[in-house]
Amino acid sequence: MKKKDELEKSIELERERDEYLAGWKRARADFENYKKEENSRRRELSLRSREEVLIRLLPVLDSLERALQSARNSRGDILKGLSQIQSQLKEALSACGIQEIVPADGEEFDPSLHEAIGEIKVSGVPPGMIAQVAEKGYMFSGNVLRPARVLIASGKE
Amino acid sequence: MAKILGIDLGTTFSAMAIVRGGEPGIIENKEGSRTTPSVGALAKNGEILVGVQARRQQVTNAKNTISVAKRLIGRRFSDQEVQKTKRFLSYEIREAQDHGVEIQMGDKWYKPAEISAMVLRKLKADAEDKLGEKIEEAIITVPAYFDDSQRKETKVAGEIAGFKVRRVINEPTAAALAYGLNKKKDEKIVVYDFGGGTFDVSVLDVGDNVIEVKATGGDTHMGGEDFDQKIMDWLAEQYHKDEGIDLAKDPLATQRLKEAAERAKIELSSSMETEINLPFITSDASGPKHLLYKLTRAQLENMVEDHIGRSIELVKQTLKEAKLEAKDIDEIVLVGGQTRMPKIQQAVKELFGKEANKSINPDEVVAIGAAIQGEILSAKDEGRKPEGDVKDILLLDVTPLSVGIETLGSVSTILISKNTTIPTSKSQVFSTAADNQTSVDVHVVQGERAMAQDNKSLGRFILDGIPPAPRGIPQVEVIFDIDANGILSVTAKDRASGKSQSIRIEGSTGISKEEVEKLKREAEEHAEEDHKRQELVETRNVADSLLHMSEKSLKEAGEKVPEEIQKEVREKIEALKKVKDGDTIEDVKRAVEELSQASQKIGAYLYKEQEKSSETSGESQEAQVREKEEPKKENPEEEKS
Repeated sequence: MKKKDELEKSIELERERDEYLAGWKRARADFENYKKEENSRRRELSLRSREEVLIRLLPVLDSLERALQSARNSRGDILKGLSQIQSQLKEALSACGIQEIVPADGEEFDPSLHEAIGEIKVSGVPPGMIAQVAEKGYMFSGNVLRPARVLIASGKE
Repeated sequence: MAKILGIDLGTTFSAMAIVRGGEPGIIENKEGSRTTPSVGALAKNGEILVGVQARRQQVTNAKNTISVAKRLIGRRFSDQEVQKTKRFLSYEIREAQDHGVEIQMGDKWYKPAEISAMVLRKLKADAEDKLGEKIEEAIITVPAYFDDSQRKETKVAGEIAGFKVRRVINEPTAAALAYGLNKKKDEKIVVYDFGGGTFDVSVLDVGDNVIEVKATGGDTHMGGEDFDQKIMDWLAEQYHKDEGIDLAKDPLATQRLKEAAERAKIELSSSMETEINLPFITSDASGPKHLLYKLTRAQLENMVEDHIGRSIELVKQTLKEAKLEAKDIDEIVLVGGQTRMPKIQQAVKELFGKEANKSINPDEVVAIGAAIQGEILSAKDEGRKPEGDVKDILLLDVTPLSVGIETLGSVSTILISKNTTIPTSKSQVFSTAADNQTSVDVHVVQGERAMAQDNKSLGRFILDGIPPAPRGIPQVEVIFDIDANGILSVTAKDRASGKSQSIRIEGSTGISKEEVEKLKREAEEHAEEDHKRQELVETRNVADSLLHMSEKSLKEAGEKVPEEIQKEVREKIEALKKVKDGDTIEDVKRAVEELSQASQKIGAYLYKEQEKSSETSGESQEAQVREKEEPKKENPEEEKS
């Protein structure tokens, strides 16, 4: 009699085990599929966010093409046009959230924001300080996209 | 649960990874990069800098910026490699009392291990920051040719950084682990590692979960950076020839050339030609000067031909040392960013006559492998199965091919798409295609082709007893469920009557590998033609439903609409019927457009009439609004167009 009970119990346990395992597998598979969907969603999102930036850059390209066209046709005020294109591009980039890194001459070198590309001898700037900015740097949402490229004042040797 | 960090401590770059949720993944550093330059520096203000920040101040502080410590670690000062490296170093090194190497940084002399420890300490701190928990233990990888002393010193570096170093493992072994090759039995593996500054090749022997290094070879002074240099030299030379200006003298120009060269190299791995465009690169008396050159993949391949040829020679040599031939090798693993170059992949394939493992990012594969080793160890500590293996018990399979049903016009409509992890279920509601249709034929198909007849038929059944209703009204829910054993159950249920029918198809995922490949290949081959056919069928379906609705509204509107409108609609219906079953999609589309416009006139006319009558009756504003909505409901084709 007892044996029969035990047998029944073990059949019952086996059934339960299979049920739980099946449930676990399903939950796990759901998670895997969710990850796959999330990945494709993220790819989509990355494309969409690039689109926003690209849309803002298109007018700049248009202007530049116009400037080149006018430079070919005549000798208009190209310089003024170019500087307008520059401010157009700056506006587009700042609308996307970009910030400039422009250290002042004589400012202290900070490798988290600046990259030294060489040393020069200059008067009036203490050695080791920034003597000249060769290329501006840019930040976006707290991250340095590109450090400002600077020349460092060398000591008098 | 203590996690063990996997670290690839490289000559120029390092990377770290950990297993989370059963899967190994790279951990980004604080700056958000997946790799960290293996550089340490003592800044002029006395601060210790590591990684990208150290590199940024290198030119202004070369004497105190220490890179390539890995070339010095654990070696004797008199070692040939140390003497060779010394020539390129911008910092001072000297012989230590124990005949090892010491590096000067500021006023102090450091052991190479102390410099490596700076990099490791940063990785530790950044990992703890990212993961939000303490990381005490690490696995660090070293080249297979590292001797005892180099391994010991690497371990010391880890300990100085605050790690308990659980193991120092070989880089090629880690790469093989990343691909799960340790689970193979009696296999010979070649790991071809073309990094930034070094080229290593290793022959491994896998047997019973143990990976043994049979032979190693390579060139410690050949790497991807040589490729960049070749491009830079070519650019500078061209420019000198064309403009007579030596760009090498200008530090900013050099920096821009270097970046452009690397970018061009990377681009040429995916495209055949690239443009190197550096406006305002320099200037002379005549004004600003610009640089613009085209570089083709073939040109680049010519430039670096010798390097690639040499790497293949080195592989052959190493095989010889292992007393093996290329044909004896079962698996090849590619490591290092330079192996993304198609020419290199081709050269390796030609040598071995088979494709190499390259699906894991070659810059990260070693760190990934180290993380897997870490997980194996921490699982052992805790007396559990490694997380990856837990998933093995679960044996979650994926569907190799999509499954779906045949819908109107024999289009295959996918319910569960390929590569979905099972068990899973999906449902979708379908309707009838004809008025008073009382049964639907559910035909289950498997495959990627657009038309049902091109896919594999798995089974079919009929659901009948659907109460008579106009087409599109009944709601038949079709549920697909694939259980863990790959058994597909398809159920169709009429929502109105609650009647349902189902079918069980065993082995819907147990389709043979060859068959899966064949079906996939066919799908690719026919993708374009399938797409056209599908579009044609869809257009025909639109035509059918428009015909149906036009005929219906014509009947309902009857005498209320002037004869000329009726006549026009009738004509257009006939015209569409004539072209509908032809193969020219444009004709069908045009006829659909014309009929749609004609039949809109019915609705528009009725609407106007109704407005007129309500105006004459002078009802309140409110009532008018209510009435305005009505014609829309009566003429659904209005909404369609």
